[in-house]
Amino acid sequence: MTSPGKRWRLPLLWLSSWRHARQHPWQSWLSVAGIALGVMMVVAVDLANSSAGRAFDLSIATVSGTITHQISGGDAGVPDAIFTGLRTELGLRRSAPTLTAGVRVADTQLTLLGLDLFSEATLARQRPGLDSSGAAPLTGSWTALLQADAAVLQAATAARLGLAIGEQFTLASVRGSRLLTLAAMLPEQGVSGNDDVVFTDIATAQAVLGRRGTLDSIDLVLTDAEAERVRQWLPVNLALVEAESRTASLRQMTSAFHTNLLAMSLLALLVAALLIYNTVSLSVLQRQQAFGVLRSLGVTGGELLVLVLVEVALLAAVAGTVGVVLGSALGQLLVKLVTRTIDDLYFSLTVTRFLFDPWALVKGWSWGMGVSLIAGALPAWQAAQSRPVTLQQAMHTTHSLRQLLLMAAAGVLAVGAGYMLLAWQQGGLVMGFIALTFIVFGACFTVPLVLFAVLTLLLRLAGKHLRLPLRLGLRNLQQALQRPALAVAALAVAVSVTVGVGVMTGSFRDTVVVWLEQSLRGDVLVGRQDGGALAPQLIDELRRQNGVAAVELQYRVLVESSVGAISVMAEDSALETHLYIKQIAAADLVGANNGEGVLVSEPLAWQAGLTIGDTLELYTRDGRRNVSVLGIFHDYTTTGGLVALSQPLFMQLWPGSEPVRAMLETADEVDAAQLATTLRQQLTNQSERHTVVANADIRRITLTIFDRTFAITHVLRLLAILVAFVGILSALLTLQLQRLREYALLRATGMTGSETALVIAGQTLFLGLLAGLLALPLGLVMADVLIDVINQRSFGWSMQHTLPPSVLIQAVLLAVGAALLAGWYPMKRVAAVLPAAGMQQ
Amino acid sequence: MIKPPLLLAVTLLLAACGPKEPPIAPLLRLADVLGGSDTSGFVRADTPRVFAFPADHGPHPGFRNEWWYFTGNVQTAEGRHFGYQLTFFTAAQPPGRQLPNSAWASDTLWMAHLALTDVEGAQHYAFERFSRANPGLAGAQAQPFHVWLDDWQIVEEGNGSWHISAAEQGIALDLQLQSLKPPVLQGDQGLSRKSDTPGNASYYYSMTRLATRGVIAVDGERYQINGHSWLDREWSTSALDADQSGWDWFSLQFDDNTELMLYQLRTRSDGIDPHSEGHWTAADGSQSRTTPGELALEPVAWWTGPDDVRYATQWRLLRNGQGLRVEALLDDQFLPLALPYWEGAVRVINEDTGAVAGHGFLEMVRQ
Amino acid sequence: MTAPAVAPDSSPHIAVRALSRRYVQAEAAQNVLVGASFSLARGEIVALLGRSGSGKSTLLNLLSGIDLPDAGTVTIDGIELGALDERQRTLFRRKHIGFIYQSFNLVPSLTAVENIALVLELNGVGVADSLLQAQAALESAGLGSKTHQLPSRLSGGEQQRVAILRALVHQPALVLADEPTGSLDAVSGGQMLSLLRDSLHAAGSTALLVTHSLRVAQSADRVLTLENGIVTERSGDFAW
Repeated sequence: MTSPGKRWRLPLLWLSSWRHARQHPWQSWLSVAGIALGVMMVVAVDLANSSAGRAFDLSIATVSGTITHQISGGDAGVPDAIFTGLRTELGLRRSAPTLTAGVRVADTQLTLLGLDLFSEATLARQRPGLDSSGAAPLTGSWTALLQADAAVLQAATAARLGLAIGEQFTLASVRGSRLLTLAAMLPEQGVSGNDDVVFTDIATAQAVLGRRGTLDSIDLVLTDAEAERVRQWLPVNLALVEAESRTASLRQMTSAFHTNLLAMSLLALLVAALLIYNTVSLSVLQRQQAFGVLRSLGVTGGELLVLVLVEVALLAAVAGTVGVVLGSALGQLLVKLVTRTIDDLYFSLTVTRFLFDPWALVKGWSWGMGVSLIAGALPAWQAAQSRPVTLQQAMHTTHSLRQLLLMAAAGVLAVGAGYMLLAWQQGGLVMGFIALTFIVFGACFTVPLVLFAVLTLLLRLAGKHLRLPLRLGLRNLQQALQRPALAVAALAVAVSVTVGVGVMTGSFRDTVVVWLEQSLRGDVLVGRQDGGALAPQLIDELRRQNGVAAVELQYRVLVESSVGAISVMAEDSALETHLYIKQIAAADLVGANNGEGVLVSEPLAWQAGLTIGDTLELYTRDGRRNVSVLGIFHDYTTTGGLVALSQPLFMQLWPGSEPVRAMLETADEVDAAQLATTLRQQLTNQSERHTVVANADIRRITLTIFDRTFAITHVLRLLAILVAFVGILSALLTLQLQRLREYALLRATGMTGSETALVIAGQTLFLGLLAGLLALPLGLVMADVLIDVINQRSFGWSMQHTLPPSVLIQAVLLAVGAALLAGWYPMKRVAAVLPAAGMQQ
Repeated sequence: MIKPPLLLAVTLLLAACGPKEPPIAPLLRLADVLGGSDTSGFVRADTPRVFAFPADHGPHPGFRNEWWYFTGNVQTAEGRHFGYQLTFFTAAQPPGRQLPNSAWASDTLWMAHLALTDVEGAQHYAFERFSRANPGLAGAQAQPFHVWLDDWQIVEEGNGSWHISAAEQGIALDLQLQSLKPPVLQGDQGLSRKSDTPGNASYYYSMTRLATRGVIAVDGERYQINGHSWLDREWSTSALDADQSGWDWFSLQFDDNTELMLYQLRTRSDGIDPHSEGHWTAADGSQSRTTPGELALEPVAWWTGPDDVRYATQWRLLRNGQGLRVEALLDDQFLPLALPYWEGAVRVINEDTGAVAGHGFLEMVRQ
Repeated sequence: MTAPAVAPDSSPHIAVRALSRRYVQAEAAQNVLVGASFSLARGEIVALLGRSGSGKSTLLNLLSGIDLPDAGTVTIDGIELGALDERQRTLFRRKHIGFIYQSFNLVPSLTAVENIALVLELNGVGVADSLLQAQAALESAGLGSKTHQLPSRLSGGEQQRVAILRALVHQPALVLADEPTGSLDAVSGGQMLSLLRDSLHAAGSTALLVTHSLRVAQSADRVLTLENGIVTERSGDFAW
């Protein structure tokens, strides 16, 4: 193996390390597995986040590009003449009209983007897929767009639709369908954004969508002085908004979502760190004598420190690489979940591709390395403190009660500090997570004392009634303490995450159910697919429809306001009957129903910093109207701000508005689903397309989306448990295998194999139970923090706290199950120990 | 006369096939925008017509290209000299198309050039714009006279004078123009043949002397100026033959209140095409075509542009034995635009006396 | 890795002067050494006799610089150990001291030859050379067949012989042996002692053998006794 020769070989000091690792392979493998799982989660979440983030940016860019401002007019749009005026009167050339809408070609959903090429050229904006620098080659000609009914597609989209240049295809919009000609194709570019976009000239777009005379918005590049001129010039019902502020709140929400995910992945790494600490300190302990010999042979403490740290670094390097590979694979899976969540919750992403970000791999690897080295530093330092073997006789390994108390005191201090950070309102989301970390860490520090106290109490009170193997097992735990404490802490943290997230999602779901109950009126809902107004005749028909007992109407308009674009909503019933009100004074509710003010949605209040008593400015055709905020209601639709007011006030502000939704109450004995089906058939002969849904279906769909949204958190929870499982397995193995000789002695003195296994069974059951029980308070605290701080700061949603007992029971079972499963292998090993093993040497 | 747009389509179409493609405006291939080679369906300039004013100041639908071409030499009371150019070109889309139901539907596309020569500052500025016609973004009308692309515009004021206003990046024109002479019909009663091919011709008239006063701004510095402008109006569907490669065009305003328009077409073999011609306007407004052999034109000095083309910036013009020298007020009056060409202010010097005899504009287009 | 050089001069090779060491344990102070003094000449093999708990191990720790005295000095070839810091003492030990323990204390994860080569490597000998030298040492001690065995596969006598080779392979100035035969039967002990003597002579090292075995003491050139914290010279025949 080491025959002398010129062959390169590890220096003997390092070789001794390597051999030690080889002799205890499970130790190394478990460390590698733990770190690898942690790194995998960090990398996967990071990749998913950065993919989703890029998707978000690209999707935003697809719509807004590099512009500074936008003129918008809510639902009413912006008249053509505004653009002409901007150009010819104000001379603002860096401006472009936009018109977009969802359309279909065959069964493919596409986004129609109507452009004026001449204007686009003035913006020189970076729109994915639309290279304004003119560098992108193009099959065909952009100017062909100026032909009537011409369209440009990306080559990939055209290929998917089976279209060649010059061929015609039918584009279906809510206004009917139209035959377009494929005039040119954009080449496929590396990371081009638009998945499926149909570019047409703005004139064609207006014609196709039946929107003659209006634009969605006008995009501008303006200086501050120019922006001021535009503001002075614009009619009152139009708003000039900064492009960034358009996307800022969306960005804030999605980035909060990303932070949540990242924090969860880092928590997994934290659990992995406990695992690393455990294995490294064990391997140092195992080599205590060898290190002593080395020290007396003249190896310095510094050399031993480096030796151990290099061992840790090698493990971390291998594990990090494995984790990075696994994480890349998992990331592809997660990105689907993440983008779907963003899609469901915030923003329709036009881009959902997985983007491979090498930087995320480097980051994840470095996290693993950094955390490992930090976790390994203490045992490495202990190794450096090894004394020459002749001095080692008197070394003690037990914890003094004072140490335990000190540790616990530090833990309590950390928890206190965490709570103080939470109380700091301006702290923001990241501070919320830092506070949570303090609390979790602090709790970990108290575990040894708690474990010691529980064991002491148990042995003192029940010791006499326990069978010897159980008593022995508990006493062993009490002596070893440090290692079982680590196992309990790791498992408790991992399980507490499932409790925290479980309680949070449970509370959230319950709140959403209540909210749906409150805000969904009637039994069947009828609306137009494009969100447009319902024809008066249709409403009459609905009223006359068999099986319909009553029809309530909802009015809704998207307008500009002093806090940006918001939806304003009214129904012809009292506000409290269709809103899930969070906060309002009784007198104010009467006032609001009398049209003396409005209620704002909770996310809007949070984003715009509105509180009761504030004033909100709404832009109407007849000028800007100040309304006072009288109350706040829950809203989880997340599609921007929502304002609710009484129907008379709505009609006063937007006279002549038509209802956009009809909510039908069924007569007794009429089945809502049946009525919906009947109506759906009847409405097919209308010129507009309509949606008819039974409210029960809306509830079901909403909750399905909700559950889909939180699917990723379940995945991450499971992974955290997996890391904890590896952790507790490692801790138990450590504990048991260290004592193999002792078990052999027990066997020699007459204990049976199953009795020795019972020693371990008792230990693991105890540890699992304790971890599960400790996880409950920690998990509930975590849930409180998630609900009241993290979600509040992330999304502006408040929710009720509910405590599903199933989550708590599951948590304890999970902890005990994980512990027993992890204890199975050590049990087998110990049961198989031969009595003779204890007699050797 | 043969202003860039007329040949633009041809020029660019050919250039696009060659190795030296000119810079293309973002997104837009000028060749496509300004016409391509298809002339079918357009009206052609093939017979003399009756001109009527002010109606003919307005647009002439049915033809593929048309332009309003203002140039002028002006100076401050202290003698600080400026040359300016403001040009609007249109290119019509082939007729007979069905336009979408939208106010944005346009069958005409517009291009405009703004240039200023600051002789004292030895600076030449040039800008270009493109736009579709609708909704009201660019266009022209006869009564009251109005030509515009965004906020660059010429508009007729109550007293019948024309008001030019155009600004870009610190350069601004704010000028009042008052015509001193009636329109001059170029060529054969306004029909200007560019080759023997029937229909390769344009309708072409000029306003050769427009009294000009107003304000010119350079980098925010405002100058009160006086001087004379020249308007060329031309519309056509096709003009040049395949072997014609460019032209040199002069519009000269002499101090004796006479004007001369003169151009020579160049052939690919670097010769002068026989369809070159000129036109005199007398002080009283009477007009006469130059006669063969009356004038001789000879380049004297050159300046090489960034496009590697040698542009003649000094010329010798012999008229019945009398020598005139036409020299650029600044060598570099090159317009580095989507369609690059040299166009700038010149002065005319009497070779015998050495005195300044007039000012004008010179345009040189090469491929 | 520069250890202080040992300069031969007229002063005693190893001088121990008025060495005192006390341990405080459980509130009670215990004086282990109280002014122990003695000298060793170069190449001398000296036995130190003492009962269990008489402070023999403490004396060895002080002589090797592992521990420091409360009073007194240890001087090896003019270097006073008390004047060196911990790191310097470690490096001094690496170069100039060889250790032999009652419990052998071989590095369990290294083979016999590697245990010996490790000391050479620590002293800067190349990787290949140290293995060759270690191999040669093993063969000369008749252990050539055990070269690649891990310590756990060697008998006690073999382990102790490997330990002797390891202690002497870098020709240290001083070899300290703590009950070297304590864990061995009579035959192995005899083999071990003769190997030790031969090796010491070959290396020219000075040795202090701490023991309570008369047999070991008899093999020494000189015998010292440690009693009540004081070292005294014993001459002539003695009985225990």
